[in-house]
Amino acid sequence: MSKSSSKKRKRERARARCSQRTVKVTKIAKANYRAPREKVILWWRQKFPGILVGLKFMGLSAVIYAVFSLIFHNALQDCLSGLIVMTGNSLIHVLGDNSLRDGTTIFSYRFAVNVAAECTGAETLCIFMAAVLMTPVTRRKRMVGILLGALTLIAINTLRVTCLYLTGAHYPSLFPLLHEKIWPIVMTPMAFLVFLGWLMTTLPAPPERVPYQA
Amino acid sequence: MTPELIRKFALRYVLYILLLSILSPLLFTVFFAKGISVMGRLFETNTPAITRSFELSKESAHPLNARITIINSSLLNPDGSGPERHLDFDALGVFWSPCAFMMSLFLASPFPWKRRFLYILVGIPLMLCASYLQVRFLIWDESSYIGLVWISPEWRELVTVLRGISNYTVDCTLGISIWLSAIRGYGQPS
Repeated sequence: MSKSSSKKRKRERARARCSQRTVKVTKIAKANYRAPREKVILWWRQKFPGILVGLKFMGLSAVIYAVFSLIFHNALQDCLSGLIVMTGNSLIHVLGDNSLRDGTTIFSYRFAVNVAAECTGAETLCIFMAAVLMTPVTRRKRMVGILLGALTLIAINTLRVTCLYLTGAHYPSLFPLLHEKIWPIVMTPMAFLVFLGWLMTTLPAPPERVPYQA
Repeated sequence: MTPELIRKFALRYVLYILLLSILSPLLFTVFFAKGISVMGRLFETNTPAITRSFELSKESAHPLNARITIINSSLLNPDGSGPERHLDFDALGVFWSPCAFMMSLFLASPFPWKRRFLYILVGIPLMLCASYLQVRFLIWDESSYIGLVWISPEWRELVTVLRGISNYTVDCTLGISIWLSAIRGYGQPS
């Protein structure tokens, strides 16, 4: 009788231990469980940590560009062209050349430049905005960055238009080289440089090294 | 990442972009034109339905201006005249400038030189593939104007937007994306 009861007790204890272990294993399994989609994302992040960032930037800038070209196209084009023509014409006057403006054109008896949709620099603005939006800083800093960066890029584009007008008016043979080759190459890197400039002012200063004291 | 590091990177970047984008095409125009002529053969085709030819400009002032002519043979008159479509583009701007942009980013980055060249070696074929696909897309779009492909008016608008986005992506953002992928992946535990 006593032998059988002790066997029973042993069995019950073993069962209890087993069930406790099962509960533990289930808990761990539940904690470690990831949905297949989550697993794929985790694997991708571990294997190719940078590609997602690159794709995110490309996608974000393409979306911003699509929104610009679909929704704000006409309003933005009119606004940017008008601003560039107005300030460019003033700058040409300051530099001592007589020119007139009409709509999106700066002209004189020597030469005329038309600020078309492709010349407004909307592409560089899109790159800059995507880069700023992807930077991990506060919303306020992002907004300030986008505003100041956009103004800087518009100012650079105004300089471009002024430079092209003056080149066309005084050195017409150099105009195609500047318009088709040099300025298009300069504008995209310029957006990147403005972004780097903003990043330099936004990043916190590195902590000062405290000398080791024995 | 410190402001000092970014400043140095920006200075190096300006130096390399100036060297690569402005000086090298002027120095290697003849060499580059030969390479583009070889690449242009990929776009050529001569079947009973379609004739597509690629040629570089004969003008000495614009030796890298390229033209792809697309002809729908079924619309041709017996005397050989008929509608044809021309796709004009600057080969330098389409194939070289995005590569130069990406190369200058990698050359200016604070990687060991071996790794910089490795990334450039991987990045250039990617950029050229993207440029090739972009031109293929433009050919497909142009073909629709001479009845080789049919696009409905609703889809036409979408294709026009996609054309703008593809030009923008390949010309401006692809180089930055490849560079971002490399710089974020560099030094991370795998």
